[in-house]
Amino acid sequence: MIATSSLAKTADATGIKLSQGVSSATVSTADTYPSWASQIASDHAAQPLGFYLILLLSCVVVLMLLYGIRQALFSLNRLYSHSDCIYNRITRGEWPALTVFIAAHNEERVIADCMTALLAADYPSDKLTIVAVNDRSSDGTAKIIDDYVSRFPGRIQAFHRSSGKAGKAAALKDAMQAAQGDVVIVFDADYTPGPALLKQLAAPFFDPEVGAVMGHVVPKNVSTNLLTRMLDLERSAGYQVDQQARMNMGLVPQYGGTVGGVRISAVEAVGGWADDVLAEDTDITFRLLIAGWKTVYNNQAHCYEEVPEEWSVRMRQVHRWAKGHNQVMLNQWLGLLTSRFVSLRERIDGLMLMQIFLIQPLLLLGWVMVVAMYYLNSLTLMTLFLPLGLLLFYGALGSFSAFLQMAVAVLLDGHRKRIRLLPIQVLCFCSCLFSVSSALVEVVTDRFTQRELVWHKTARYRKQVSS
Amino acid sequence: MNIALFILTAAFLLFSLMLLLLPFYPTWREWKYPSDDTALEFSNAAQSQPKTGLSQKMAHVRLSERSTTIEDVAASDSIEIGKGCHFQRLDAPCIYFGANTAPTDSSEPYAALKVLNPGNATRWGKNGLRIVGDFQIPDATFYEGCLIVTGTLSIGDDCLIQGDLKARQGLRVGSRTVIAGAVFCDESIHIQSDSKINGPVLAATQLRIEPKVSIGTTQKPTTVSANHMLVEQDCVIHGTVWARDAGMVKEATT
Repeated sequence: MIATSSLAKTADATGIKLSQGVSSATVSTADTYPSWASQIASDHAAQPLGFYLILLLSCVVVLMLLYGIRQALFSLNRLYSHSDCIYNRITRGEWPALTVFIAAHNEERVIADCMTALLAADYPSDKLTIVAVNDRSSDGTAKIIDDYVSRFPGRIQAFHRSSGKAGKAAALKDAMQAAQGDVVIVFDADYTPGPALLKQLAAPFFDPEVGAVMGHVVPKNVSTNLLTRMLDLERSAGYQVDQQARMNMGLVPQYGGTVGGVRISAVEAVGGWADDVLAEDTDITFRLLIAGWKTVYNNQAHCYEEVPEEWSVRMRQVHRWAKGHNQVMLNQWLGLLTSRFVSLRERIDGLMLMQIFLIQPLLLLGWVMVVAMYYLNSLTLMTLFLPLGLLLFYGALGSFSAFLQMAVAVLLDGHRKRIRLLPIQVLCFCSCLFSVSSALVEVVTDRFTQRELVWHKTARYRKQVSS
Repeated sequence: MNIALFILTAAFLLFSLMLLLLPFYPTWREWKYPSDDTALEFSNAAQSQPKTGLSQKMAHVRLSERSTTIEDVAASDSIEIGKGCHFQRLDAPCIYFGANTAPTDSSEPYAALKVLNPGNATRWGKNGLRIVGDFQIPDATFYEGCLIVTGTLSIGDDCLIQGDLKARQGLRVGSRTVIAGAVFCDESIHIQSDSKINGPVLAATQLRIEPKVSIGTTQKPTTVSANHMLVEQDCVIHGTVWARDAGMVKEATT
């Protein structure tokens, strides 16, 4: 209680009227602050740890809610908006000179099929160069490539790499010297492109603003086991809904490193391929975006791929994606925030896309905080920063929207019965929690320890060596 | 009483458990007895040429004036489409719109372009420029390189542009202008008379082509497309013309 006389003066100065009949002696400092501020102050004083926990938890909830809204908007866009890649209308033109790289590291099981498919592509042969990049393979990959080069002279070239930094990005960087023309399309060796695919991927490059293009990847080994079926749902949601919605809404479609292409002059303009990140595709997407180049997603440019059939392989793959993505986030977030070539919606979506692999660690953190608050007896503070309605809204939308995307995807694909597998998709999500979270920890520690990146190759499952 | 309460509670828990597990029954069935586990099918075939209401083997196709809407027409030699005709997709080495006379070559000399360096231009790729906002290229100007304009691009008359063009909010090509490259716009394109463009020409919304415009060549056919197209008389396009929603050859006003 402050001295009565000075309080009265303060009250007069600030215009606070004292209630009639209430003497100035009864005025307390609490009455000079809004009630919510007083509540916060008293809660902070009563349970400081719980207070900070709920503050942090509120931030997590708001962020998760934003992602939930984003995913829901994408689903609604795909349901109610028209999707049309205008570049698909280009059936005739002076097609650009194209170099197709096949990235191969110990791919003896699959590379022959890829090369055979590319040789059958519907593309002017005088404008097409196929380069099989053998990156330090220890199996029969080199022999198979050389065999194709001798059988199809002038149509396939070999680029054998026996030393240098590990990883696909480093291999592509070195192989760029063999590129002819200004457009490069990249395939992993386990892909089998159809005849029309090269034109579908090359068409957007008639537009001088386009720096990269991405096609629609479709799992081929869907029926193998439960994991492949769940991954099929995941891929479907990612391409059919997420990528296409981003394309429709003028946001940030992502170049995925395979079944896609880049403009060499654009890549050179932004500093070339980065060979010190695990996700060179995400890295180039953002560097192109920051410099003003566009990435085009073509939903009609389909290509089959093999998805992992074992959980261990799947975990390693997700770990690599998450680690690479987070590396890019740490490298590029400031550039994205400050770029003058990026529109506001691209900036917002780009930031959200960058941080997509933070969601699972944040979710894990949120669960831990809630448990901690329970034992600290602080759960009553839950609505201190978040109104109850918002919490309920998060509960309804936040977790639901990811599954809504998958449901919309199977609807658009025309494979409606797969929706029955939606409940078990939680298993896929939960299995990645620790893998993705550990990737984040590794990215941060690698920054301090300067550890060199390690590239784990994804296993292949085709049984026979093709010839 | 306690037993009754116990039974009631157990029944409630059992019911709740059943509700929680119920969605997993179809999941289990789909997993154990898959009914939809094939890879998504898509066509691996080469890009399809227009299916046609008329035979693709015809060399010459002539669509008389004010014909009904033609959806897909292809010919191995030429298509003549008269005034007032509506079309969607046409494909031929030569497509004549309301043709009376062929477009003429322009051989006027072009003035060299003074250094294009507006305050908001940045280098783009190998030899291009990117300009923020609207931009106007004066009459009788030569420019080499690609050009990206975030606003509206207006190209004057009698210009020679060697490179690809992209505008986000609108694009106008002046009369007797030659563009040796592609033309793209996220909105509408207006090509004025007697211009020549190598192509492709793609407009997201509308494309208006004035008389005596020539797009593509017989040796290098190209693609012209927009959602809505209005083509005036005496134009010729070599390759594919695709009006996704509607295309029309303008009737003569006299």
